[in-house]
Amino acid sequence: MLVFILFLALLSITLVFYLIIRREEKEKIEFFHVTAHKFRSPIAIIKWYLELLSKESVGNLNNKQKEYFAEMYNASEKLNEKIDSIIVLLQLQSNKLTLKREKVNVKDLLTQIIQKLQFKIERHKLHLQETYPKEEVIIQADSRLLNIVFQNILENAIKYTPENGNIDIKVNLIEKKLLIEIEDSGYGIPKERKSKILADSVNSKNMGFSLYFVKLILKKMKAHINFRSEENKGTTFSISMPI
Amino acid sequence: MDNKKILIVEDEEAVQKAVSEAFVNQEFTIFTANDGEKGLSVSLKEHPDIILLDILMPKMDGMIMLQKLRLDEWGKTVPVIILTNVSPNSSSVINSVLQTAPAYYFVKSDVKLEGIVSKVKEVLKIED
Repeated sequence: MLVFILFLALLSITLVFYLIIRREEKEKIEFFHVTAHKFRSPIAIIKWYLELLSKESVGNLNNKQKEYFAEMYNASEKLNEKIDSIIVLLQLQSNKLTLKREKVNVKDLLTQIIQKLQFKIERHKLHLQETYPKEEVIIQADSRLLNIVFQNILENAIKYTPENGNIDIKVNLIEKKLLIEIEDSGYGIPKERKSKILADSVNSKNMGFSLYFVKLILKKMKAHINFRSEENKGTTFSISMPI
Repeated sequence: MDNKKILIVEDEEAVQKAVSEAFVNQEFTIFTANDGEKGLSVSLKEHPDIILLDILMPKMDGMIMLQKLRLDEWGKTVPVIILTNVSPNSSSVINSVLQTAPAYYFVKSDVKLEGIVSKVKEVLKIED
């Protein structure tokens, strides 16, 4: 009897501690969530005033000034994307993310992302090739989340491929599934890191975080990601998702 | 032709100023309010052609203001563009949006000023 009471008491204490920790965790996530949203206002203000200045609405600019304002604008866009990623990540972790279902033209979406990354592709002197099926690929998905997924994978491919390398994007529709492969001729993923690259937690810097994030989003979308990689030959990420 | 009237309801002065600036030389008359309470009273008094509305504001937030506005005979149909920091993918925001039918929803940091101007023109059917 005494053992049973002791067991019950221990169980209750453990439960109370668990609930306290969970509540603290929830409050922490909520705090970061609210704070991340608050970053958006100053970012919008910086972007909008740069836009007004770049349009010469308060005075003419010389070419150098235009170039510098454009760099500042791009940097604030980048900052905005990062904040956006943090907000989505916190929403995913607290189960507060509602998926939108909208018509997405996959080719249009990828073209927009490639345009955004064009200056990086040119800076790295990379050759990009895209292959799409003959018919238009239109799926029902959350375009904002898809955008984050493809942009992260492409940015990784650009970052980890040496000059004059290749990046191939292949889009296919097979048995009511969308298959996208992004293949690069880059450095590849070292053997010892392969098992960690798509793990369920953030366990390595840079690429580790973005792929952890990508995996969380794809899981929410009931999609899958895999990769194959060989050192100094390149990496291919394959995504399959229901349409 | 009379200038179209725009009401900007926004508590941050720098945001209010930048958005107002975007409509300079565009033949619009701008009204501003820095909380939902004032936004509602200016709306009902001036009957703007369109309202740009923030959500998180002191005194009365944008969603409450919009719900109250929709109870008014004129306010029922006035086009409202939400201009906010809040992502449109949480269930509370989605429910409020479904109830109050804004014409459009922008996250501030994702849109350019020229994007706001062209959306206002599109909603008011003004050709460039």
